[in-house]
Amino acid sequence: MVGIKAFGSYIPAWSLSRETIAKAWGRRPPQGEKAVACHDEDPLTMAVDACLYAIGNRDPGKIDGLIFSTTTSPYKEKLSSTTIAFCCDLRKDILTADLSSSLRGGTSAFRLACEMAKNEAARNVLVTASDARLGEPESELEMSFGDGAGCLLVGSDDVIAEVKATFSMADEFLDAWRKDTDRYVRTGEERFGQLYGYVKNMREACLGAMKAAALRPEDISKAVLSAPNQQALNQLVRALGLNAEKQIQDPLISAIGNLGSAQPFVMLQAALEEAKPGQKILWACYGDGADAFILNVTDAISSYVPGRRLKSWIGSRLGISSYEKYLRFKNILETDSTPPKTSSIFASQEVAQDIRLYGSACKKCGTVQYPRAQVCISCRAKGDLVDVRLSRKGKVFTFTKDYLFASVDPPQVMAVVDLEKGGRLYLQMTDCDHQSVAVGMPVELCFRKFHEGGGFHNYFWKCRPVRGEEKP
Amino acid sequence: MSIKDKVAVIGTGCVKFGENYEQTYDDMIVEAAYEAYKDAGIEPKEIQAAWMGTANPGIGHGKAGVSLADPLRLYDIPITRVENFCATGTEAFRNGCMAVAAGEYDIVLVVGAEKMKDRGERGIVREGHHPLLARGVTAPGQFALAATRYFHTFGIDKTVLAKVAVKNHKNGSMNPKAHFQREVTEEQVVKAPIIAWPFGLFDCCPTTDGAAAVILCREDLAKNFRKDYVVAKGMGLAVTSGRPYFDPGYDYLGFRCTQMAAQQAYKEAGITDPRKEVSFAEVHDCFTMTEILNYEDLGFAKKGEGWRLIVDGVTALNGDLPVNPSGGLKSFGHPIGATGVRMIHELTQQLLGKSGKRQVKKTDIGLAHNVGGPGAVACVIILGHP
Repeated sequence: MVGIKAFGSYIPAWSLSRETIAKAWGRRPPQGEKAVACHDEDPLTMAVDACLYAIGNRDPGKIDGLIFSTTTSPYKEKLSSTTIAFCCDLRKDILTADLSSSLRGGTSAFRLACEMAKNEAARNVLVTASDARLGEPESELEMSFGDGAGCLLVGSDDVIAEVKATFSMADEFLDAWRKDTDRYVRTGEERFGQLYGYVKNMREACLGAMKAAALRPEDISKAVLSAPNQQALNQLVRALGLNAEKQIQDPLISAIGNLGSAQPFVMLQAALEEAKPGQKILWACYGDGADAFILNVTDAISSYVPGRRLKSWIGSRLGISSYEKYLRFKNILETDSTPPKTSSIFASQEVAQDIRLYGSACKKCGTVQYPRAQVCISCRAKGDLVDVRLSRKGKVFTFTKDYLFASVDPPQVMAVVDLEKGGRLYLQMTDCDHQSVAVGMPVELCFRKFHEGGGFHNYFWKCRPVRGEEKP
Repeated sequence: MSIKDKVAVIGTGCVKFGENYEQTYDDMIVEAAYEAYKDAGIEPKEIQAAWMGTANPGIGHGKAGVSLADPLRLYDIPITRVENFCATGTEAFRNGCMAVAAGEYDIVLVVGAEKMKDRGERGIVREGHHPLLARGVTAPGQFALAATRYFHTFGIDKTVLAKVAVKNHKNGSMNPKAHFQREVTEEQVVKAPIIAWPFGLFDCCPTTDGAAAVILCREDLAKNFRKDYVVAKGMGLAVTSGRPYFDPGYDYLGFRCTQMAAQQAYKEAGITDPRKEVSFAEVHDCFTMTEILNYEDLGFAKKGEGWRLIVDGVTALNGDLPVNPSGGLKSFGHPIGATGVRMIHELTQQLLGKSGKRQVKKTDIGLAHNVGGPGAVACVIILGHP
C-alpha cells in the first residue's frame, strides 16, 4: 500500500493585510491577508520547517530520499534538496533532487516518490514544495501571492492516505511564467487562461483519476484542487459537477494567499487534518497540464497527530505594519550592506556544525557543547567528545535588543539560549515582537538565510518564539 | 620571581582624545611619544626596544612593528606589535615591563594608538569574526547580555547604570584631554536612545581617536632621569573563552578573566584586601554595566553588591575608592590600543599628585584594568611608589 505516511507544513510568521497593500496604491481593499516570508527566509528555509514537522519523532536515518519543488529556487545551479536533507540530518546515501520551474512540481515529485515506493527503491521519501513568488508591485498577483511550504512523507507502510489512482497530463499552454531574467511572475489573458488552461486541464486530469478509481463525483469526500484564485476554482467545481458547499477544500487564499507550488500540499494537510477513515480525496494540481490523484484515507489517520496544525501556524502570526516594511522584507527596497568574509572551503568544513547542528557531547563529564570541539569546555578531556545533534528547543538565558547591528528589521534581538538536553547557543531571534522578549521565554530553532558572503547563500540557525500549540 | 618594584615609569604622554579629524594615526603617535620623551628627559636614541599596542593599525600601516617604527623613525631596534582585544594597551605595557624586569633592556617605549574614526565602518572593525556563529554580536550587545542577566538576578535597573555615566562624565569634565568634558544628568542617561537594550547612548563609551606613550626603565636607573617616578607593583593577564555565550556553565554575572588577572596582580603586589589597599582605580567602563561588574571582579565588592558602591558614592572622585578619576572610557574615550596606556598615564599623574582638579586624595596604590572581547581577555596593572 503506497501513500502518505505523514505531513508537515510551514506558514511564515508574518502576514500582510491586503488593506495595507491597497492603501499604498490607493485602491479599494480586498478581503484577507497574505502570508509573507520574513526577510531571512526563502523557499529552502521554509521547506526545512515543513520537512522537520513531517519527520516529527521519526528516525531521519530511515529516510531514503528528498525531492524539493519550487518555482523560486535560491539557486539556478546548485541543489536545495541537499541542504534541506542535511538540515533534517538525513543520510548521505539517499536520492536528493530539485524539481523546479513548475507550479505542479510538488505533485509531480509526489508521483515519482510513489513510483519509488511501489518499486521498493525507497522506503521513505520526503516530498516538499515551497514557494515565495513575487507579484509585481500594484498588480493583482501582488495581492494574491503568499509564501509557505508543505511536505509529505511517502512510503509503503503505515500510510494514512493510500494512493488509489493517478492521472497526469501535459499541455503546452502559456498561463503564468517567468523568464530566467524576470523578477516578477507574468500572466497571459486572465479569462482565456482560466477557461482554456486551468479549468480544461484540471477537469480532464480529475476525471481521468476518478475514472481510474471508478469513482463518480458524489463519491468524493473532499476535492483538494489547487487554484490561482477563488473565481477560477468556482468554475472548475461547476465543470466537475461537485458540490461547492460540501466537497471542496478551501484554498486558503483569503487567509494566506496563493502559495504557488506549496498550495496543493498545504491544502491537502488542511483536508487530512479533518479526514476520516475510508474517505476518498481527490487531489489535483495545475501548471502546464495537471496532476490528479485519488487518495483513500486509512484507519491509521485516527491515531495520527500532526506535528503542527495549520490552525496553529495561521493563528500565530505577526502583522507587517506597513507596505514599506513588506518591500524591505522582499528586498524590493534594497538595503546596502557588505557581507562578512567566508569561503567555500570554510563553509564545507562547517557543514556538520552549521547545517546539521551538531555539537559535541563529552563522554567523560556529559557536557553538551557548541561549537564542536576536540577538548571539553568543562572537564578539558581530549578525545572523548562525540558528535550530537542538538535539540531545537530551548529557553532564553539572557538577551539584548541591538540597534547597532545592521538589520532589515531592527532592533536585532540576540539571545543566549539553553537547549533542552544540553548545549548553549547564542542566536539571532527572528519572527518576534521585541517587546515580548524575556529571560526564560521558550524558543524554537529555525533555519534561516544570513547573507551572501563568498558569493553564495549562507544559511544558519536562529531562534524564534514558540509558535502556536505544540505536539505533546 | 616577581616584577614588584623592578620597573619604573619615568615618562608618559597622551594626546587629547576625541574625534581627531585633523590628526593622522602617525601624528598622534609622534605627539604622544615625544611628550613622553620630554617628560622622561630622554632622547629617542636611548630607547632600546618598543611595544606597540594597536588593535587595528591606521589605514596604510602594516600589522607589525613598522606602524610604530615609521612615524617615529625608530629603526633598527626590536619593536613588537601587541594585540589582545581591548586589553591591548595594558598588555603592551605588561610586555615592556617584563622585558625590563628580565634585564634584557634598560629603557623601553610602550605606545598605544588607535584611529577609530577612520575605518570606513561604524563602531569597532569586524575582523576575523565567524560568518555565522554569533552573527549579530556587537560590542554593546555582548556586554548588554551581562546587564540583562544582572538585572534579572539582582533586581537593579537602568537608573543604577546611569549613575556610573553621571560620575564618569563629571570626572571627565575636569580632564582637558578627555573626549567628553561635559556633565550629564541621570535623566538624560536614562532617556537616551537605546543602542543595545538595556544600554542607551550614554551607557556606552564613544568611538574615539587617541594615542598614549610610556617610557619604562630599570628601577635602579630611574633616579638618573628624575626624582619622582612610580613603579610597577603587580601585573596579571588572563584569557578565557572568546565565545562565553556558548559556554553552558557561564552565569553572565561577571568576567572570570578579570577575576583571574586581578588575583595574579594582587598576589604579585602583596595585596590581600583590595577594597582597602587600592587607593584608586582606572577600570574598563566600556559600558556602564561593565564598571559595576569590574567592582565585583576586582574584589572591591561581593558578587551582586558592586552596584552599591556607585549608589553609595564610594567610587566617586571624593569617595573612599575613586574609580575612573580620568573620566574613564565613558568620558575620556576608548581608542582600543591607546586606552590601557592612557590608563598608565593617568595612574602615574595621580600617584605623583599632578592631576589638578580631579586629583584623588589617597595615592598609595593605583590600579589599571582592561577587559576585552566579550569578556575574554583581561589585564590588571598595579602601580605604586618606589
